[in-house]
Amino acid sequence: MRLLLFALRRVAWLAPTLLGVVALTFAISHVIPADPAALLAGEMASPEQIARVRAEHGLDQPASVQFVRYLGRIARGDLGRSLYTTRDISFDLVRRLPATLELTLAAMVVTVVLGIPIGVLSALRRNSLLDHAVRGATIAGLAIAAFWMGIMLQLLFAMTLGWTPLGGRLTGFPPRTITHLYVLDALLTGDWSALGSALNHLALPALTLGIPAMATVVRFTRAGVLDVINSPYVLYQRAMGVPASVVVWKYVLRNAAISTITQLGLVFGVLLAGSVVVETVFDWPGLGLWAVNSIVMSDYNAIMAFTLWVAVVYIAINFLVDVLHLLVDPRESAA
Amino acid sequence: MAQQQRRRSGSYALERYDPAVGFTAVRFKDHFLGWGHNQSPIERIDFRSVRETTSVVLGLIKGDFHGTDGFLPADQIDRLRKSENVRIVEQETMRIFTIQLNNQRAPMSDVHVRRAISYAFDYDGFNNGVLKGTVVRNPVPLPNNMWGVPKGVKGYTYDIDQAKAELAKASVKIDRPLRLHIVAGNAQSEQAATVMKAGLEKIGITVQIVPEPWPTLTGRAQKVETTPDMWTLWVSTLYADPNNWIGESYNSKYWGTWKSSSWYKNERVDDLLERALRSRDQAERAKAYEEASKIVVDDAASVFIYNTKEYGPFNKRVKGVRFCPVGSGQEVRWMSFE
Repeated sequence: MRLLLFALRRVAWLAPTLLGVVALTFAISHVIPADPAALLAGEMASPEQIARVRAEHGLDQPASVQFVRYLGRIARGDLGRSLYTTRDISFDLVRRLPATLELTLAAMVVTVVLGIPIGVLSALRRNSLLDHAVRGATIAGLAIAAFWMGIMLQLLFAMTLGWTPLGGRLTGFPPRTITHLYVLDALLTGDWSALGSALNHLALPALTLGIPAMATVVRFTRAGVLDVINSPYVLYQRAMGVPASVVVWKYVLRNAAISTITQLGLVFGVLLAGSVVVETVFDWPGLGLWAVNSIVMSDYNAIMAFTLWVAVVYIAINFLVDVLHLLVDPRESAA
Repeated sequence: MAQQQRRRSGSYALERYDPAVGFTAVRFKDHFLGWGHNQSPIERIDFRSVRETTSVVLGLIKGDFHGTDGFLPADQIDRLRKSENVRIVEQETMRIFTIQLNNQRAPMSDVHVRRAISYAFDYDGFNNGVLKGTVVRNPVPLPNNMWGVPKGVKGYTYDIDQAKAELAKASVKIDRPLRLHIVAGNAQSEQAATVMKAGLEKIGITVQIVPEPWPTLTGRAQKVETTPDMWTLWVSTLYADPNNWIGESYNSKYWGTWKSSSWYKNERVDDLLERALRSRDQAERAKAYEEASKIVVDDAASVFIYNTKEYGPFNKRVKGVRFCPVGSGQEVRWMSFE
């Protein structure tokens, strides 16, 4: 019941939050000194042609009228047309989302599979050489700029060792796709060559995205475990002769995981919103690269759609993390 | 659009297109010109749009890419020259680089101020120092290698004393910083602006460099009020005729377009350019363009800096590359792959 009430309260706040984001984005995009009608009409268009295009698309209307029309279109799921490609923006978004999703999931695998165990180990061996090394490495992982790390990984693994490609998502065009997640599609269709190519292309961008995320998770997991490890009930379990591995992985981690879960959720949201830098460095055809292209081309409609997407992702992820918190920690729901 | 309209006039046909990735094209065997000239033509081309310069350069060095456009920075061209996989096809093209001056706004409305600005740019320092001699000095509003270029016009040189002398003759006072807009993310644009700023500050004019995306800049150029004081501009070959450069840039009937963003007006020049456009006699047209060019240079309508040399990086296995200045492109039908 408490969970339901919480959920309803949060959903009620969703609409005004999104409205605020849309209004702010709309205002900013119309303050920038560039003419979307000129973009649509093309570089060689005469002033008369540009004026005609402006009228056709309602760009000569007052900003308030344009905003109301825009809200109406959003409510119908119409994100408008790209000023640069003239395609439906929904088409571009849907086309590019699987690439970002696949990269995000791969980065999350790196983050979770490596981050949590390393964090636990570091906490259990507190102040050892391993712990110091891990702490130093995580600071480096958080401090190093993503684009620099990506380029360094390219130089090492792609150029020097020749183990991976430089960028892109696959060699050539994709074979038969079901979900548009190439790794999953390759598994489902039994296309082992495509599977190898997809994993090979995924390796470097996933590492580049995953390393800073993993660093965050390691630090939070370590802190959480340290917080719990000396609790009386843990000491009791150990005194009763419960194996250390059971104590750690069943009891300690469960209680220490609360902050880690929060971080994982937030990290997922950040990654899913489109990792602009990593996708640009690795020429990964996801939402991040699409956003960069849109900004460079002053494609207002696409920029607003991307901003809306980011806002929706963050709001949704925060909501889910809060719900998960309630489920994992009974004290929160009692409160 | 490429998928909707099949015209069959090109030597390669679109095979597959993914807006997020790029497209592939296959050789059109029934092309009207035939394929007898090329014993081993390229059967399939995979075009990819790669935003990051480093990725393009590394891809060429590694051999993943076999060619790219000719807009790489000079230091990356040098880097590619050292690669055993890459050769650079070098050719003077027809793409001039200028700094446009808003002739309708004070202080640039004064010809002496414009001449002072023209004398304050370090052409040799920029062309041979910053760009390492990868471009050719072009002092006129037409590419050097185009017909219609006046012979013997040396244009402006870097001369601070001369710049100060011109400024002293100006009837307007310069009491504000001049805004020099550049193409955001374009290193050369920024470098040129820095050189211009350094020169102008030596004659007491302060400059504020403002990066903006290309679409923003072209949008501004529609109106004289929104056109920047100065901005960096390349004029490429959309069609190989002098009107592409001097006509569309300095004939006042083109006002409101990005090429004509100097907002220059001279009735004699307008008359010459209109006559040249209407005439079918190339010798007569050439004379008109030569005279118009001299006037435009004398009026210092813009700062004329260089003509581009195209450095097309190609994999060494790609043979038969023929450069075409129109669109800075290469016709693939002559190419083969060893």
